[in-house]
Amino acid sequence: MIEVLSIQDLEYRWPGREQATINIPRWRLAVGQRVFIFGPSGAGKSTLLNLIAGILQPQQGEIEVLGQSLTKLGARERDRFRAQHIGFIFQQFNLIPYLTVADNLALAQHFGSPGWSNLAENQRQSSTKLNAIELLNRLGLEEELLARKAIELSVGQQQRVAVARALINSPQLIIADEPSSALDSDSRDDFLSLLLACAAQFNSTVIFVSHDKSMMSHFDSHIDLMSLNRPQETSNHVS
Amino acid sequence: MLAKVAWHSLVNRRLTVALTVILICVSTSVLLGVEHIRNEARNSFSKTVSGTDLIVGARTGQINLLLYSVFHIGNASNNIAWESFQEISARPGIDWTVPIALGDSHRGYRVVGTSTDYFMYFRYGNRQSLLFEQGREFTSLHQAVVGAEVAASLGYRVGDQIVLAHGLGEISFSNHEDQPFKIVGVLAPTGTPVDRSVHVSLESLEAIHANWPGGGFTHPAEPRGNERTLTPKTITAFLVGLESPMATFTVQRQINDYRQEPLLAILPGVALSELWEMTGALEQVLTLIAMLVLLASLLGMSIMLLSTMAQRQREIAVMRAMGAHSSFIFLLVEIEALFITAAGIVLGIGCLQLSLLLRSDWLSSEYGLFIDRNLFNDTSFFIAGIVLTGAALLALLPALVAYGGSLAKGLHAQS
Repeated sequence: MIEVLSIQDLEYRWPGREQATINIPRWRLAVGQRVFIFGPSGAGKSTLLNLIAGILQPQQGEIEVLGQSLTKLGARERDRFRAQHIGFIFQQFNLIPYLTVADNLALAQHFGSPGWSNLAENQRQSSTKLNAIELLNRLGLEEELLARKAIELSVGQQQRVAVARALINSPQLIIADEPSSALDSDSRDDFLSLLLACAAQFNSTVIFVSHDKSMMSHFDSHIDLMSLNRPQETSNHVS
Repeated sequence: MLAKVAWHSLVNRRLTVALTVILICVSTSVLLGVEHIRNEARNSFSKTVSGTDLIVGARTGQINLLLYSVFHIGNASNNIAWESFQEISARPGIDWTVPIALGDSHRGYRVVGTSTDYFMYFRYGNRQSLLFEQGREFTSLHQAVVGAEVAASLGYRVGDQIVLAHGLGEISFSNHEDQPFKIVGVLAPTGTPVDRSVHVSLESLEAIHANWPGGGFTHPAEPRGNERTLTPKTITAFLVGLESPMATFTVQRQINDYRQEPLLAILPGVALSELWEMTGALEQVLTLIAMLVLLASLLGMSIMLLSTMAQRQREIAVMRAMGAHSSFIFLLVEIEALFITAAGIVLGIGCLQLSLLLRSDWLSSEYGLFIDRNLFNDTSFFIAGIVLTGAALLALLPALVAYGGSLAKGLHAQS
């Protein structure tokens, strides 16, 4: 089994708190899986996602994403790693409001690009264009949206562009933090099927976090954060 | 990419950004204006008189004498006798003397009564002598030589006739209309008060002020009386050139001890530095105020950027999620600050340049300041550099807040 994610004895405590918010003895995730994580608010869902994305650094333990230990990377390398391998989608506000859709996608590519030379920039720009149009079409969005500012789009359109933005660097891992809670129940299902279909096309692993269990049925496996995470104890593993 | 994001971010907040740009514009133009006028004033004053060893006038303050005799600012409190001038001019060790009689004007421009020695000995700038653009010096009564600015602004050419007014001021009720003057020469521009003067001979001045019996009006251009009877009784001041500069202090002391009437001899350079000493404190206060205005405006910009940071947490979170490093966020804020400041500086220089172009005539006529209209010099670039550096330093605070905020907190769905 090829592992996308491997967590060992992970512990994270927010500064100023006595108790650890996250204490996960062991957790592995195979490639291509779609995992639904649920739990009440305050259970540490966002904190866990921030740790996996390399935005927060754990006080103890080990996180490996795609075989790369995040704790062994420097801050700048972690940011570059996130840009290249992880697509992050929030509940709402996934785009820079004053940039056009095209610029939002280009910015994501900019962060994920390994080189800075002009030649690479030009090549990338032409491939962005193709890529972006292709992605938008696949997500049921018109090409004309590229020139529009993100703030001018409807919430539903914004969330689809957010998926495009998350997928633009063909990430192996997609992390979604309550991405559908701003949508009504009809468009929520549409959105979810779209996200999962795209992820399947790119063969991306999906970690989806929500407190709303009604969407559980779309996923391969379900994890209750409360059973995975043992804030007080140090105990045996959950799979 | 960074610059593009910064640009769109500023355009998105255009109203507050525009106000901040105006803030920087005002403070930059105040600082630049103060510095430019200060430098140019010193320059223009220093280059007005050169090659003159002593200036002699009635006893008064040395700055006062310097100002009214050469810069035509203010008035003489007293005149000196023609005999004193004659007697001192004849003394050994004195190379040349140039008499100056003030008191009349022509349409707001001062009339300088002098001798033809004026055109031979008067030096300005880097010991340059006066040059004629048109015509020649006056040779007889009722002839006038006008400065470049007089000719340009009133459209005078050689051969035109002008009427002198008694006293100073643009409008006079006592004109010497019965004795018009003919322009025989126009001087090349010098950037000194000479440009704003009408030069006539002392005898001509005597002629228009003399009360001629049966003062008819038959042949206005024809000189009346012979020149020997038109010897002036008094003059306002005179310039002295010495054979040897070593003798300057001796001659100065001799003149100051003159028995027949109280005289004052000054060294132009010494009087100028006394003037700078007096104005120096004021200049420093002005510069200090300008610096404080600048500081206040940069703080204003910093506050503007800082206050938007709360609203921008979401945007920063999105960038971080996309994979932006914290330094990207830091640089974004810094570049926004520099864009605003650069726009403010450009606008400020533009406004100042425009007002210089429009108002430099007024400065030269009202205060005798000849200001270079070109702002683009080393000092201006230096000041622009200071403003930009100050902006970058004061933007550190909001930039660090953004940077720190993006590092310490995680990204939350509920924001």
